[in-house]
Amino acid sequence: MKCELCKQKEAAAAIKQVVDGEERELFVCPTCAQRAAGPMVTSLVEMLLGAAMDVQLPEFDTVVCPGCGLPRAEFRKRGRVGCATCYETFAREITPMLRDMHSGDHHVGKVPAREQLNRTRAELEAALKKSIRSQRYEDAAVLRDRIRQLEAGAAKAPPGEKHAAS
Amino acid sequence: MLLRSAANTRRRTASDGGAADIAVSCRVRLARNLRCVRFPDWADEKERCRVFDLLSPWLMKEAGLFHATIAAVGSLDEITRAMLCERHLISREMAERGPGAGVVVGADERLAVMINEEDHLRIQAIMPGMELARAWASANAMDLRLEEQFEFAFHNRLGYLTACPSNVGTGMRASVMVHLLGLRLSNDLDAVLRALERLRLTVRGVNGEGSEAAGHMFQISNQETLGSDETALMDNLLDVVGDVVHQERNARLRLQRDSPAVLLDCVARALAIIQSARIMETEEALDYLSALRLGVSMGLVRRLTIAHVDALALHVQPGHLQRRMGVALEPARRDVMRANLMREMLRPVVLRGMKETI
Repeated sequence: MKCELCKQKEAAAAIKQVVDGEERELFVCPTCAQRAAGPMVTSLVEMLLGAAMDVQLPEFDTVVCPGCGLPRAEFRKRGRVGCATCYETFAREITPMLRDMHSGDHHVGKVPAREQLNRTRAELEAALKKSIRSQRYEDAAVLRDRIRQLEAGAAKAPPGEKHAAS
Repeated sequence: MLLRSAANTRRRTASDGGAADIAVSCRVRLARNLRCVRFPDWADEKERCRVFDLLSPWLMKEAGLFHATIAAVGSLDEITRAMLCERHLISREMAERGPGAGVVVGADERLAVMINEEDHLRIQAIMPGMELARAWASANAMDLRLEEQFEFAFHNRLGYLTACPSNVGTGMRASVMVHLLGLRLSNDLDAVLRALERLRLTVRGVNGEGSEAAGHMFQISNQETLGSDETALMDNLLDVVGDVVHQERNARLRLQRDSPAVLLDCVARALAIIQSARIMETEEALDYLSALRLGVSMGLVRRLTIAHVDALALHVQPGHLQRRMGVALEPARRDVMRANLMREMLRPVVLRGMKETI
């Protein structure tokens, strides 16, 4: 991953900076990190001894994805994730990457049938709860039947046997 | 055997005059990954082989591919790997990867599924011209069959999860391959390519390593995959490509009207060199074939069709050439064989209106 400030050197540290009114974490190279930290008040002796040059930079290289064991440094080097869980683990890095790559931030388009089924069921169940809370029992009965229908439909055609639903 | 190549070339590129002289072919590619399995790049060889053994038998028997053939990269010789690359059935990256990577492909090579490329699955459908809708229908049908059988990595907000964040969302890359020699000859190509980048489309040369496309073949594809649905992405691409094709057509007509000598020189020179050269490198061959392709499309050449040019453009590439000769050859030896093949295949070709010499 390139430094988000100079866009040239490799990023090696994380700093906090206010960008467009919101505080964002930026991944930057050591030079930019020092610059961002502002001019440092150091004594002449310290400078001459080189002690002041030894700036502690906040580290971000220690995280490892619990899904696949990919270390953060490795992810930054490859620019590719190791498994689906990496998208959660490295969300801090991936979110700005996605912002640069795509104009949208959420998926629009095809959804796997299985996923669609879960979504529909979740929606129906939420509606069912709501109608029970507001004591609309007739609506609730209809919703309950639809959920049963959905479940029966899914059971009738287990994966591998049902045919492409368009 | 997978590579009954000569016969297949025609089916894959089936282009005989008409609209296909500029928009050569189009492709829809869907990237999919299995849930709870490490992605190919980060997985070790054992894991990759497990995924391959899980997916390949199903793809061979149940996926509905007509006369499916399987090519396991690990067990192929170098020439066959090169051939598969040249036919865009496997990627270069995959060709170098050993066991666990492979492709299952239907007899007409229009529908293929790569296993363990950058993602676990890459479904690829190719159609002639700009028939993206048909390519999508074919790839989507395969995707639907696969998702009944295997559970894909899918995120509620981010959609299909892919190894590279640039493919996340639809996981779809739709592309059209276009032949843009007219724009090159009229010096308008760079402006057109720059405009495409601004429209957030990706343009890359189809052949050759560098940025300059050998044979003036460019692949234009959607850059973004997150935030628009598949249809919108394809519609946008077709809109823009339609415009590019129109500009290329105009450039060709302008050349014919305003500078016929430039056009004729380009075609005649290419033909003359092909018919006499004794040594020819791949990129050079592709450039001359590109000129002939334009010549056929503009009616300047006789006894040649665009389908022949496209077939030859495949057969002059190193893998195909070596398979044809039946032996592995040094590059210098290949250049001689290539020149011979070109001379032989294009001997009967003549410029229209010129005295025939055979």
